[in-house]
Amino acid sequence: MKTFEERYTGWIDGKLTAAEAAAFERELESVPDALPDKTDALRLGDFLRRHADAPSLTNADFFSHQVAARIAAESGREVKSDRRHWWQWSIPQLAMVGSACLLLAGGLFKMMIPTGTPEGAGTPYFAEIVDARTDNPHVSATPVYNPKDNVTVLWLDGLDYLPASAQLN
Amino acid sequence: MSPSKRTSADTENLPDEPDDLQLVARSQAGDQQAFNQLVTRYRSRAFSMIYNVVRNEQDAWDLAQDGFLKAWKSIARFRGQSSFYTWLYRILMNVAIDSIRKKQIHGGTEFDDAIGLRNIEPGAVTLPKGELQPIEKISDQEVRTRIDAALVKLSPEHRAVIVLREIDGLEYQEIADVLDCSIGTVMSRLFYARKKLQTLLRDVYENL
Amino acid sequence: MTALRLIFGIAFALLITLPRAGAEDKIWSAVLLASNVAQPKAPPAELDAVCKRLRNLLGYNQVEIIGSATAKIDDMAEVQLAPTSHFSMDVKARRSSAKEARGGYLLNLQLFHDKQQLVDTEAKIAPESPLFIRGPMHARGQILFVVLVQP
Repeated sequence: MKTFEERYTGWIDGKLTAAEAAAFERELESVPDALPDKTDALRLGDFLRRHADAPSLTNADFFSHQVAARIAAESGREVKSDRRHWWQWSIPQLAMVGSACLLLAGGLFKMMIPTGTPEGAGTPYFAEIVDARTDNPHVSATPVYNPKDNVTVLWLDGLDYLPASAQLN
Repeated sequence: MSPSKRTSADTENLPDEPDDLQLVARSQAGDQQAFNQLVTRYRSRAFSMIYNVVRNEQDAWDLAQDGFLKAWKSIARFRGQSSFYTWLYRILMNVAIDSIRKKQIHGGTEFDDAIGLRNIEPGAVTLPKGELQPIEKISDQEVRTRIDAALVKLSPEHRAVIVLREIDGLEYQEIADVLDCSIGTVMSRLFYARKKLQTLLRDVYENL
Repeated sequence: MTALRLIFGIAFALLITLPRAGAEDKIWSAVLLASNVAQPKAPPAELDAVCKRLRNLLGYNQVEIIGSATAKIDDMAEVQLAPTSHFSMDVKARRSSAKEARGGYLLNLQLFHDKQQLVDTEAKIAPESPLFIRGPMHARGQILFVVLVQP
């Protein structure tokens, strides 16, 4: 025998048999808000499908590369190669490889370090206090992040009170 | 989206590409390149699925990687009773749920299911609720923030069923397989999770 | 070695062609006075988005800007911001490479009241993610400081 919750869920999702649905709807006659609630639950589902989608995976190839690197590290294996080892290369070859690596690293650095706000980026709240120090032993600096309001505050306690006569600007 | 259905570009095989089972067999023989192909095939869906549960891009990235690593380590135990993706999906979901539980244990988040459930008797419906004030039209970003905040308030189990059913579109049986529980449990969790989200998000979806 | 030459060429092309975007980002800072008044004024336009959240956190119903200052961010160079003649900040900003930063910066920030250093902090901020500092109490309310990236 299904519980009320199970039948209610099945009823909302249209997963009850015709007989089960009819019996359950008779049971629901004493609950006048059941039909509006069903509409509301379906609306919630539609809303979630439309708005709760995940962002796409950025740097997907780097993702695969990292997984492969972790697997290789876990397996303790090295990629077998029948090519010449690097220490067998000639000095000009080594110089060429070194320069290429440096230039490639520079190019990738320029490409991968964010250089502006991505267009249309829905920026989640991001501010974060990594470290805070005060010279005054009577003053404490405490990072406060309030997830409810999405605000990060560096909370300084113990500073001198400023009277009304104190100039602010 | 059902784990057994393939729709994303990442998961479409070209005609001459090996299918999942061939790649799995090669992976089981220790071929890392074959497993890399599986990673490439399913990385986007894995990331999306985990993101939907944890609601944080960086965490989703890290956890998806952990999930693939776990899959690699246990690929020898895959016996082909389900599709590879269904099997992977279960691993990924467990990784995501474990991560939320750890955060809960370490005091990062408090789920207030208890509060929600106290207010919801089995027969109770969540309409109408006059005390919710209509809000002004809100931006997509705010909608996303509200959804994130609401999902974070659900327990890992409730969050998982909502994501699997409402966002990923899985059938009850598939959800039960992924979460390793009965269909009745899935339906019961869905009941409470929906009630909670209706209460938390109604002012948003009613004003869109 | 053909492949190496190709990499060499691509990398060189990348180096000379990629623009150094983001150089025009600015950092905006302000000294705020938060207070509780019978007839609260509307928040300043610059703080509209965060004022309600700030109000919830700190419990004040009005936030006004006492003074503000803006400076162009010069990566790794220290800039001085003086929102008012009594409060100033020395800020060194460098772009954060963290994925979630979305165009954000890692700041080394020193806040001064006249010549006295109130705090020395390292913080990450990004556009739409301002950092607040709760400063001293004032007879009229609470002094706050805000630092914001303006793309």
